[in-house]
Amino acid sequence: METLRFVRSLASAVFAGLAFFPPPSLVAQAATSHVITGRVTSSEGARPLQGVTVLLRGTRFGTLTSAEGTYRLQLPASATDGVISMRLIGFKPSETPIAGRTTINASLEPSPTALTDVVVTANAIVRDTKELGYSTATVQADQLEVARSTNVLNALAGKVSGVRVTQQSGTIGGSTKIVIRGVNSIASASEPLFVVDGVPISNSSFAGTETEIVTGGVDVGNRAQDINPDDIESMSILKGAAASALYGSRARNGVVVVTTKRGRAGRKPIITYNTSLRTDQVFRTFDLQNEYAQGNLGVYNKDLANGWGPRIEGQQVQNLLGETVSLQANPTNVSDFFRTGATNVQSLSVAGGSELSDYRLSGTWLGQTGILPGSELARYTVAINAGQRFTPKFSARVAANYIRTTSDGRASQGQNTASIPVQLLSSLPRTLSTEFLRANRVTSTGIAGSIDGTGTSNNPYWVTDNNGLNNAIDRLYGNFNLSYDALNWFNVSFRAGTDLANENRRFITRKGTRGRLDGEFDTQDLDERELNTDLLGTVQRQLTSTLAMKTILGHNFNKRTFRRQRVFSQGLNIDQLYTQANALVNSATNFSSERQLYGVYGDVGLAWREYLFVNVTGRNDWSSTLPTNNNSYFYPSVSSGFVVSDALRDKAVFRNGRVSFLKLRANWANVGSDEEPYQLAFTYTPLTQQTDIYTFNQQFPFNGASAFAATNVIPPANLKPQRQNSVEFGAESRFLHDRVGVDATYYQTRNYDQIVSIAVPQSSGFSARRLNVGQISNKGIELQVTAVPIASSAPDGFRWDVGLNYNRNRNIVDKLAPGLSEFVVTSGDGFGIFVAARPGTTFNIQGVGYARDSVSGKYLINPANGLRIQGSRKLFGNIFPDYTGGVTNTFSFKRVALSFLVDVRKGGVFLSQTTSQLRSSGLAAETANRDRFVQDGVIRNADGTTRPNDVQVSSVQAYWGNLDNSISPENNIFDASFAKLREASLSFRLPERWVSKLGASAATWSLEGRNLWLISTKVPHVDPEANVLGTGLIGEGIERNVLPSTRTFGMNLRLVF
Amino acid sequence: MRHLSSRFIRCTAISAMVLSLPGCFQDGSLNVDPNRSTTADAAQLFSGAALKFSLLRVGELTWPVALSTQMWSSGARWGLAQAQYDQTRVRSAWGSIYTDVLKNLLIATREAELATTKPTNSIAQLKIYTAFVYSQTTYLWGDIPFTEAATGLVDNPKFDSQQTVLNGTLALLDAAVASIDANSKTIGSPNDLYYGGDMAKWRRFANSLKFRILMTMVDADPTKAALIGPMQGLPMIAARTDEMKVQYTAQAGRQNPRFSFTQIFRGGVQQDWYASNVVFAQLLPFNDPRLPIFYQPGPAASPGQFVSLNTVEPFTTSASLVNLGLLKADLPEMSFSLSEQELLEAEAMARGFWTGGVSAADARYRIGVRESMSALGVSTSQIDAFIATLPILTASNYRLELNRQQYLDLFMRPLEGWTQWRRSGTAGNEYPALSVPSGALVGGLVRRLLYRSEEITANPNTPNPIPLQDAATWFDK
Repeated sequence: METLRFVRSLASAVFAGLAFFPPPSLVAQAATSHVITGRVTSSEGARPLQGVTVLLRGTRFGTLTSAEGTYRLQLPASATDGVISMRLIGFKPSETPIAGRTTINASLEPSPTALTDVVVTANAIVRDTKELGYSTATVQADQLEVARSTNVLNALAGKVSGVRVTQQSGTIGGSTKIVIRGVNSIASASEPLFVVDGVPISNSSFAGTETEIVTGGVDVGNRAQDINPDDIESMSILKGAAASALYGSRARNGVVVVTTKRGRAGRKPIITYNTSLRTDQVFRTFDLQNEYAQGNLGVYNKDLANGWGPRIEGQQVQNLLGETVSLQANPTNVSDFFRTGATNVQSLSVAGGSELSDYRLSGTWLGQTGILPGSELARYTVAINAGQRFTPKFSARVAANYIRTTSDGRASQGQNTASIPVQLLSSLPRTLSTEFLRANRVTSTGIAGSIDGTGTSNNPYWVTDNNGLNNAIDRLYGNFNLSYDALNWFNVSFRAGTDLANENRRFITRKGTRGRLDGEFDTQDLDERELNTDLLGTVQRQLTSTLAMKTILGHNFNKRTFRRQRVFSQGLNIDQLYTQANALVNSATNFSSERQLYGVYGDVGLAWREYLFVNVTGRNDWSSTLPTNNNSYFYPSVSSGFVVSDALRDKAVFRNGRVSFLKLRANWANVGSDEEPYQLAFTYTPLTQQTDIYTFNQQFPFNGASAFAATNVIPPANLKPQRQNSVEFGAESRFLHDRVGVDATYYQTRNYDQIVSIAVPQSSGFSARRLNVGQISNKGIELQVTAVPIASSAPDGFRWDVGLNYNRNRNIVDKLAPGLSEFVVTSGDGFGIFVAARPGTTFNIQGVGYARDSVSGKYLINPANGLRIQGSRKLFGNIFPDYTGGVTNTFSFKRVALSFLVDVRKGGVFLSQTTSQLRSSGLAAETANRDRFVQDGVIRNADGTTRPNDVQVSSVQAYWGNLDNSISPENNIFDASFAKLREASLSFRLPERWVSKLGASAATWSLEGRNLWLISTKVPHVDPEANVLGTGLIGEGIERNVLPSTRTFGMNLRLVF
Repeated sequence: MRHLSSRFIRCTAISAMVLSLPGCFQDGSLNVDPNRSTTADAAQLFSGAALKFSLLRVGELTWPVALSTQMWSSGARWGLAQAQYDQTRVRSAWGSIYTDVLKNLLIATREAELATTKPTNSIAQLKIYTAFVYSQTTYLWGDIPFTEAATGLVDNPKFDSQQTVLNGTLALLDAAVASIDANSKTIGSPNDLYYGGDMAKWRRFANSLKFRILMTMVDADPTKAALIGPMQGLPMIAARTDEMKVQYTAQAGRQNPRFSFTQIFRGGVQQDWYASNVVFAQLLPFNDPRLPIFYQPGPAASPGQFVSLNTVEPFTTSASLVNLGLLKADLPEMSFSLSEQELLEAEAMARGFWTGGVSAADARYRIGVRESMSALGVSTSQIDAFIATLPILTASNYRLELNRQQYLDLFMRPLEGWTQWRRSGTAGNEYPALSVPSGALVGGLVRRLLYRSEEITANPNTPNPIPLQDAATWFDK
């Protein structure tokens, strides 16, 4: 069994291809090996320890222990006099000379700190963290399984310094954005690369164009959510470019390295069954007034969907059906709309192995009903991971994951369609009761009920009953790996991986929906494929008694294709028959793209006396997307780690344990990257439609005519690869006999020669020119502290662990194109609100402000109505936080552990359109005071001087109307700071005597919760993390009728047989 | 998998052996876009550009212009800002006219001119249409990029004076008409959305357009009278079949956007566009039979009760609405109508540019009014009765009477209506008389659109200071 693909020997890339592998039968006779077996336990209570890394010191020969603590390590015959090191998080490492033995048992002593000891780095290479010259972080399986989220990325929130994780909406199967060390581009999203078992997989989120996203778009989720938390052994975050130069350009935004669980050698198969049940509720509901009915300036009007009518006092009025009723408030009509969602996760795995093979099979079913009526999701995951050693030198491994996800009832967000549930709820008159809304979702004529008398808007129950997106995704990703130890210092391996994702999507607007009375549906078939191969040769030699070298040479091929077929069908003959033949008009579009890349790379690592480590890497890529004369680019990196505490181990400060570990690290990297496909030529697009700003698009063929249009982007001339330069310095230390650990990092990245489409005057006939331009940089510090304030020496005694992380990143757009003063990063907003960058600043929300007196800074007030006056465009602040952090506290005693995580963001701004609507429609609680007042401000006199405002607002309705986003976003932009109780769990390890009655060997039961408490925020009504723009766009911080996020409670039971 | 195996082997070998050897993707074939073409046909570019321009005219540009010029009222249902000269909803038109319309027309023209056998008719069609677009654009924005625009060759095109632009459109029309050749290749049906390649009709439209442009220029440049005179007798729009229009249909995705607006935002219930006092005053006192065709009574009005609004007045349930019959899905987008031609001819005669004098003008005027009403479906008897009430044109009244009829004729064509209003008299003497709405962003009446911020930000040649909404353009005399 060979669970970790350690590399062992010098490579020459001329050993290209599998043809060079000798047949197994020949190899079998070649060399005998030295096999060591043993069992590793905890010094406290002799508990078997699973997952201990067992390594031949100074080499990559290693394995992990099974659930029963056993291991089997196969070494070259020569390795009889080495030292076996054993490491596990939370335990002191042990080192034992082999001295010719074949059995080595060990007992590890718990160590108070919990710093990770090994990490999976580039190309699935496991490395001792002490060697690394860059910052990484690893999150283990148990940390990912707390209060399982449908999107595994949510489990990273608040846990790792330098990593910002934001759930975009409460949509079932919705997306989660992850940004490592700040954004690196003004032109494309800075999502990290996802790598599973050494092979990149897609984290795409194809939600459409900017305009499509903000006008009734749907949160379709990002594809990293397909990774099943129950199959993950660990997730390592490689934050900087140096950590990942070997993955190629895409790693410049960081890498999330996922290692999946494997079987281990053991006496019998281990069966693990996990069941998780939980409920989801709306995390935050609107804070509404319940005193005023719909109307205008205090006069009741059933035609309007707002709260500007008279005080609700039981008076007799006509309702929407023309019946005379007495006016009543219905405080719960919005909250009643959402239901309690439920999630059920059942997971079963079988894992085991023999001396020569290992396997793990798992199946997981996840069923979820969302908080939005009618929304549901089901996900089936089947995974296999198996390895076989055919001969002592030749081994192979295969891993495959198949995931099928189906979901229904994903709702529109944004605005400009009549089918957005949150928009309808944010204009719902307080007088419409839940019963009325439920009973009147359909009119007597069979079309959608309405919430206003003019019939403009749909009854929200009609929308969730009938409209929304459903999809089905088939995902298959996996890899196989062949490894051959040609010599005892030289290994050659080949790995090929593929990732196939096919999604069928249909967005339905039922016939009879107001705004789309004829009905329509939009069918999309998306197909995304990636093929990746790596051929690696590894040399590992002890050059002198003090100097070891490991060199990797590799070749990479990567191919990515994307295909999209879309048919938009309008005008349905038969109601609810969603087949294209039933539509009066079908317009079809298709798109496909392909890109290829070849890379060769090398990594030379030197270790001096096991305390000074230097790695030099280089890579050259050839990309199909760049100009043929400039499609080759080289990028190098250097990193170094120096373990001061080992080098100076005789110094008193290290010897007496006050400083038990101290390492310094530094690295530099320069990474090149390529362009999107097909950007170089001047092209003509066949038009499927001519678009209109109100989406009254005209379809081609129009009256029989088809049409083309020339590109609006002037193609680049002499395009170069984009570049990123980064440096990082860090120190890692443990103090007070390992009771306190501190890991601090300073980093700086500079992205230049960005490939950007820069706006040109439209009168030139073009909207943009594509070129290498601009520079954006990030500087930041990261701090990760672990401490054990209390640790009883008794076995299973009381213990308090604290983990703290802190990250401060400063993002600056250093340069744009010469003469360009502003770059709109994300627009697509009907009110002229953008996320924009100006040189010397970072990404800001920008829009029209209210005019202010230049002397006092106070608002200028219109003396005619007492309201603020529209001013000029301005920046409303940085969308990124000043800092983020998380604190985890874990208390354990005997069999019980209590853990909670508080996640904090400080700074940055956030725009809420929902808040704007709630206020301008007179429904927000803060609009309930209807007494006219004089707002603070000044009035400009005819002579240019000012006087304090003394004019009452013409009405409170006009006051709030004047603060609407359509006038200025200024009053709806908030400090985005928050503190959340992100996770809490209480777990109980069941006594063995109970467990054995079930036939099991171990069982843990836990109560868990996620997003439990919004401890503090300055944003009213909505979750300060919501973002309508999703993960595919660069901008963030704009909330626009986003489905509320959820609060989760649940229980989990894990049984190991 | 195009060439994958051989490419894979070659590149693997090359790149693995020699790091620096740039051996891959040398033919660039993998980066050839399968979704787009590197060549395009002039006919295809023309239909794309024409539909875009039609869509802008009938959609995005209609509402702000109709509301700010007081042809329609919003009743505050769609906000009062546009009636108060806020132009933020004219969002894409400026950029789209240059990037989606003019650029494609100019590329199509250039490609046609480079062809070995010059399709002179196609070139004529493209030039006539280009002249039409430029004339419309300058009427809206005044000074605009023209001589250096929309080619991609000049990064920051200069802004030409409106006079230069309009003279340029005349030159384009002259060149186009001169090049029409019976034997040459034509952009035909279906890509010619207007005339299906009928060059006789294109010639008529070109002459009518030149006539219209000259009539808009003549107040600012009296020498143009000398060019108007010789146009009498040239073939111009003389029948409904000659009209320049894009036919929308009832089919989804091909519907007139004015219909879609009500359909999408209001569930098919017209509740956004109200009768404005200004237009109403031109109908009611004259017993104009177009009144119940222009308007429908408000939902709470009694049958036949018509009530109009000041443009910044909130609606009432009895206020009259623009008739849904004029917002139908299959109404064409009219760029030049027969009645407009006839009324312009009457004006040319009355003003002495054409021969015939006021008496000939009177006859042509009655033909024009009859056509204007007939096209709306007014019955012959009603038309006869109304025309009988029209005063005989005289040297003293022709201006007023023609202005009124020309203005009403363009009721559903706010772009032309606005141009007509601006040229109907000197500042303050236009017909009908308007007053600045309360809350307006500028002190004067609206006379132009503002340049878009995208252009101002990116083009240093944008006029500075930026002329505001009430600054007259050159022709507006």
